[in-house]
Amino acid sequence: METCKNTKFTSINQVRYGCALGAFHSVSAIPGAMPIAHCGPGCVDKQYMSLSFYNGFQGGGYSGGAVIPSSNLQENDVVFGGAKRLQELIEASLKILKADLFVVLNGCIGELVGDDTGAVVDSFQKQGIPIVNAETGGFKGNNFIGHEIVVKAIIEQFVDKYAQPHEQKQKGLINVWSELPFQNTFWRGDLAELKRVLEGAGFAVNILFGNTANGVEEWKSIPKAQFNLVVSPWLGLSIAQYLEEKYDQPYLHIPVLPIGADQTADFLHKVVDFAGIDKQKVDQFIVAEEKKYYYYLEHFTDFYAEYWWGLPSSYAVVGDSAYNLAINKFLVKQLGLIPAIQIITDNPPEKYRQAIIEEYKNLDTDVSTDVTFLEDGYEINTILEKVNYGHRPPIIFGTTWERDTSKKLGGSIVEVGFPASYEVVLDRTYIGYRGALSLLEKIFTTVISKSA
Amino acid sequence: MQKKINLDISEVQPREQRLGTIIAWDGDIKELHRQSNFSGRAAGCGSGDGCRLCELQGPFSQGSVCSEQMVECQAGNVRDAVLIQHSPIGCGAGQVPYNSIYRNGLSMRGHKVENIRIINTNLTEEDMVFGASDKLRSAIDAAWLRYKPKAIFIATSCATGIIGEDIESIAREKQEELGVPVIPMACEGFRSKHWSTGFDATQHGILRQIVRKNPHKQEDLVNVINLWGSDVFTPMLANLNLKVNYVIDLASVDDLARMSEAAATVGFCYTLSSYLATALEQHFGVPEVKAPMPYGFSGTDAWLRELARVTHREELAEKYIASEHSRVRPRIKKLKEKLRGVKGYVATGSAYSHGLIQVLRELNVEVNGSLVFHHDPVYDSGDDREDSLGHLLKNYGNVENFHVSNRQQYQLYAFSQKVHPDFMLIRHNGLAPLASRLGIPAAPLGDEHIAIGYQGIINLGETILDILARKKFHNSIKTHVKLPYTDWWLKQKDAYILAR
Amino acid sequence: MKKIDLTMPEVEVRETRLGSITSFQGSAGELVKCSGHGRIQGKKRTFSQCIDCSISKAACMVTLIQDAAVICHGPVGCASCLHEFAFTYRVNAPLRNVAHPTQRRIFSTNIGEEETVYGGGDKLAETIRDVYKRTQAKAIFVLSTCAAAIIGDDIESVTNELESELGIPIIAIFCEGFRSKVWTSGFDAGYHGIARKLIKPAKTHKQDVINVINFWGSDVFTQWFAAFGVKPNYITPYSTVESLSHSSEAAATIQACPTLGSYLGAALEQEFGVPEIKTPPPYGVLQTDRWFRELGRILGKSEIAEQIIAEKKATYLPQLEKIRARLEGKLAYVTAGAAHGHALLSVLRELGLKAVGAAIFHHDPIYDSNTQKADALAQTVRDYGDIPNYNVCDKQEFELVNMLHHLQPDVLLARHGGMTLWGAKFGIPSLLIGDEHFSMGYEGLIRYGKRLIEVIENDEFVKNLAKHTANPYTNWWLEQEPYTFLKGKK
Repeated sequence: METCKNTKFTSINQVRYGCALGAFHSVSAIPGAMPIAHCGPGCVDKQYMSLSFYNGFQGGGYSGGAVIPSSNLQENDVVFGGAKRLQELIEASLKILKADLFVVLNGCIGELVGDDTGAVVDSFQKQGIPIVNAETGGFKGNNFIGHEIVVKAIIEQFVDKYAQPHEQKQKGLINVWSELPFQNTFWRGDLAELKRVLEGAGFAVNILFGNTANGVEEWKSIPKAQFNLVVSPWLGLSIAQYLEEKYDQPYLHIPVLPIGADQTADFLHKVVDFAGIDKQKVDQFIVAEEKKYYYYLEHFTDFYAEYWWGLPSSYAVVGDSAYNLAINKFLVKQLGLIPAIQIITDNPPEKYRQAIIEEYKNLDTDVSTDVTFLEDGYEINTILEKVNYGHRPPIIFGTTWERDTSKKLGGSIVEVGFPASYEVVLDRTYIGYRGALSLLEKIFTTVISKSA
Repeated sequence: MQKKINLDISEVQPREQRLGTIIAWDGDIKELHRQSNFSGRAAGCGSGDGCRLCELQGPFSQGSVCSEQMVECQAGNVRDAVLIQHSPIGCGAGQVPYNSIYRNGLSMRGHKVENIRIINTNLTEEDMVFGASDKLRSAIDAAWLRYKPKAIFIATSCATGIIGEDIESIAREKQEELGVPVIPMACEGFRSKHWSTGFDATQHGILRQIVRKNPHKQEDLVNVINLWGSDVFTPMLANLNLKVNYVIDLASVDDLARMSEAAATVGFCYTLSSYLATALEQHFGVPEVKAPMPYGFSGTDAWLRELARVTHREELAEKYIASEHSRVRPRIKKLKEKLRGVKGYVATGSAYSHGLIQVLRELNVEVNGSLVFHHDPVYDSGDDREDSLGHLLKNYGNVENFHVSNRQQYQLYAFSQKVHPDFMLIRHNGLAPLASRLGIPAAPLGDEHIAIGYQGIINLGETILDILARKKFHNSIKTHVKLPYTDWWLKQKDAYILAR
Repeated sequence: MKKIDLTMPEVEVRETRLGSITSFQGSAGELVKCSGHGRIQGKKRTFSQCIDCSISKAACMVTLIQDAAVICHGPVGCASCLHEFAFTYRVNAPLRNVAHPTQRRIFSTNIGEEETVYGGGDKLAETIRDVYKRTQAKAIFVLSTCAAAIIGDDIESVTNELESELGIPIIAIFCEGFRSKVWTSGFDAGYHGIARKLIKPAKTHKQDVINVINFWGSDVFTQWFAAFGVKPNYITPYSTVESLSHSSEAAATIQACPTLGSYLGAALEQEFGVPEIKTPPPYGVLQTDRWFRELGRILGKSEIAEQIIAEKKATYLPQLEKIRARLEGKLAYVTAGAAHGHALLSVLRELGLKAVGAAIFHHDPIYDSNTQKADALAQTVRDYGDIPNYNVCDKQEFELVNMLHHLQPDVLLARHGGMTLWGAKFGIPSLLIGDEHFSMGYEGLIRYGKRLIEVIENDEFVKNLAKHTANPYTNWWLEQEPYTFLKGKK
């Protein structure tokens, strides 16, 4: 049959991201903000159970998980429209739940049957209620796209209205746009570390998400910042460009999340140079951090140089572009490991891909590798199985989906991305100074505990 | 019941239409049992609203669960089949939790641990406008080329339901082409107010397209309808010289096909087994064991005796019952002493809660509150030996605070304030996080078989002792978190105030 | 005096038996020449750092016997490092097809101050009974320690009594640390115990079994031997008490490392009539040729040996050429135990590298087989030329650091812990391989070569670390001659 000759499929086996509605996690990640979902009965549960439960078991916290109001739309709502249902849900939510900001996210059903959620939300906004509407139908794209939709909606419908005075920008204040909350299993520890090193270098930081962020007050100061800092290969770029236009804020784009002393020092220097702030502070900070960092690395050397039973050299990274690139840099530049195959799974928009490929061409002065963009887990694992990793099985930096393949290859699996169902993650970070050390611990504990 | 299950139509009838299922109700067991009118309803109570259970309906709701998820957790768990989700990628997020659960289940039952096989058609905005039948065809091809499955299941979604995809005819076309069952299952989240319709949708599809039509009967084979729980039935039924055919989770397609060969079908939770067991009896002549569920002494005794009667093994059963009683009694006596004065609360699926309350009361645990996610006033067989709520009431007495609440965390607060339990039994996600923040430890019963049979009484007792010890953790959390609910709401004594 | 005397409970230490030394400076050629002409004199170090002791060497050979138990008779500290072998046993089990490696049975009598006054014999007897009850071991080894030896516990009598009481071999091994400055004496002590109490005189001789005395290296011999229709009997790691007792029945004995097996190989030949293959183990092309030929000769299957040599060379020599091209002229420094150090020196030079020096833990002028045929250092010098800066140095890190500082090699090769990190700290890529069979034979050269290329090319970690490392040694020391602290006669 001709249909069976078709071997290029658009379907997705083994999902590696959620849908646009899943960006309600970005709302839950802002302290004091509460999502309201206008969608079917299982939509919130699915995004929650996958992105924040079976992914490092991060948990829902104050405004996530089963707390989230949802219209749980039924056949009637499909036939007659669900706008009224949303109206009463919002009214009741305001009575039952405490929050500084509500964000309504519209799902597939609402968007397909044409519920005018904008109008419903607008009527609450007119009463002075801090509430925002975001059109995040699941078919519009993944939760990365949803994140950008939600953030822009909050800026446009909330920040803009309540912003602190911003004619005069505050020198040294930066808005940071980096990892995708909850999708990245380690985002909480990572953002905290990112904020710590930037503060150490002399900046005031709007980190915006996570427990080191100051809730909606911090969001209100977004327009006041000297500039926007995008630390990821592509996510957040369109937000920075939007803010550039809206508030006349320049932005600095650094594609590589810094892991380890060299990368972090390099990163901080770039940001300081861009900002034009005093360099003395950053230099002092780096000296102090490197002293701590290399103390541990020196002791680690005994193991790394002498472990009798050998350690793997080649590796593969399967994951979101941000972590994929960052981990590659670290493994090559700090550890001298050998890249075998790299697969990016977050479906970066076409226009960003060439720039990402270039980054892999220059992992180090003497190391260059190729990168593949793929989202279907079956194809990913088929490729992983076929790669020649040399005389020892590889370390695979991937997700729970790669466990079987890793076992088949006799390699080690380090789960670094969604879904990481065999990791319990609290404040662990894999970036900056502290994170590099945790990452080393994780990698080599995994490798040697496999041996017996 | 008046009507036989209809396997001629491709879509299963939702529970609310078949059984009169409700998802919100407030009162006690006595009253709910009276209103449910199990036997009367089974006999048929005419047309119109005369039969409808009074159901509360309020403006506020929190994220619930949908039928498609139940399809994932059943059809997605058949070992040599593939499930296709015809939907936008968001529905595919379910692959992640169900993969983890599937892997655990495989390991518990001694199968090789591997990833779940679910393919999502990844529908996008364009597909919403132009339709996506080619994407579905291509996903079926992918399933076939990659895995050579023995059956392919297709789950619908809200989006495909609304844009009107003709999944049935594509399934028929592909089934003819590939020569394996290709089974469409109507499970759009909005189709039914309760997710357990998803169980029925999967079972309906399997009954129509997989179960063998001309079976060779095996007089010692028993279908056990379950999920991924640990293997407690094989050793138990071995005492009756019976072999177990676990369905649907972790079964092979052939295990599903041979359901019609069995001498009987049993379940341990009528919420789960109602549709499949009844249909197997009505359409394939496999008798359903109609008895109270196997929880506590009286339930387990009755369940075993009925199974023995149906399979003609009365003597073996009596011997087994007697020896088990004497084996577990001493240990249960000790557990009872330890659990005296402890207050428990059950928050689970409907029939499962009835069973757990029985076990708790066997253990001397005080239970005067429970919430269930939905309530079926009757089951598909209509046989009142299956009236699980009635069995609980008759043998173990009333439960004063009995609520139907489809996993609405905000209501659990008021419920818990009424009865102040020392611990909770909770099976589904979403409620235990609140219980924790109130200082109440909860036992997540991922292994649904834990409380079954005589040994189950001991298992549950010991589990409770374990979690009571964890109260230290929960108390420390309680003093350091704030709840997202307003003071106004936390003051409400009536969890249904907005619905009255 | 007879060198091997199985009627004695104790074995003579290497320095008296073989004239072994732990210090020497000069070239390898000079050392070979000295060894051949009477006794050489080691010098004394007036500064020294921690070295190994015999206990752990004896323990490593007996702990890894599958069904034996080991008791270290002494204060608990002497046994505190022995868990290392429990880990070794687990981690290498797959290489030897042991599917379910069991927990190693390692015990200490844990003697305290009281026993040092009143004697520890009773405690030892009790411990032996307990250990037997708990483990049902097929044999129990008792290792002596410095403390037990000083207080004069009569371990031999206690073990003999318990042996008749329990009906299994209970074997005293005399390996207290202060007896010998050459820690490999511990191997001899362990083997002595095995030879005098476990190995039974042969009733039959099996023409299809060859003893392989080795560590825990991967099982390369099964495949090599198969062509000759024989199979290996590995001694002692992963053996059983039963299989060891039949070692006397083998057709021959080979050594993976003569430093290790010198004593047992000779004992098997002299006391049990099993001929030992005396030519050094097969590292490097030339020696691999010789080794296969010798094996063929002893088995009376020379034509098979020739066939293997021809086939393997046809397969591997072209690959070897390619690897050589990438390694040619690179400077290497070696630090390892004696015989394996000699092996690495052959391997690296076969691969086209240049040896700029070596720090070898000790030197045996001759082995127990008492023939110059077995001299592996002489062999590598003959095959590949002399080696400058050949230092006999028993893990004296300060000398190694000084040497590395002066020589600045491109790569550091090692087999033991405590050394390679100094490569890393100097920014020198280092390769430590624990599997002693890894570089054996023609195919081993390819394996090792590939690994070496990988290590040399991926030097980011060490280069970076070198920038951030503080060196505890003074500049004064680094500028001195490396042997400054070797003084006078001993």
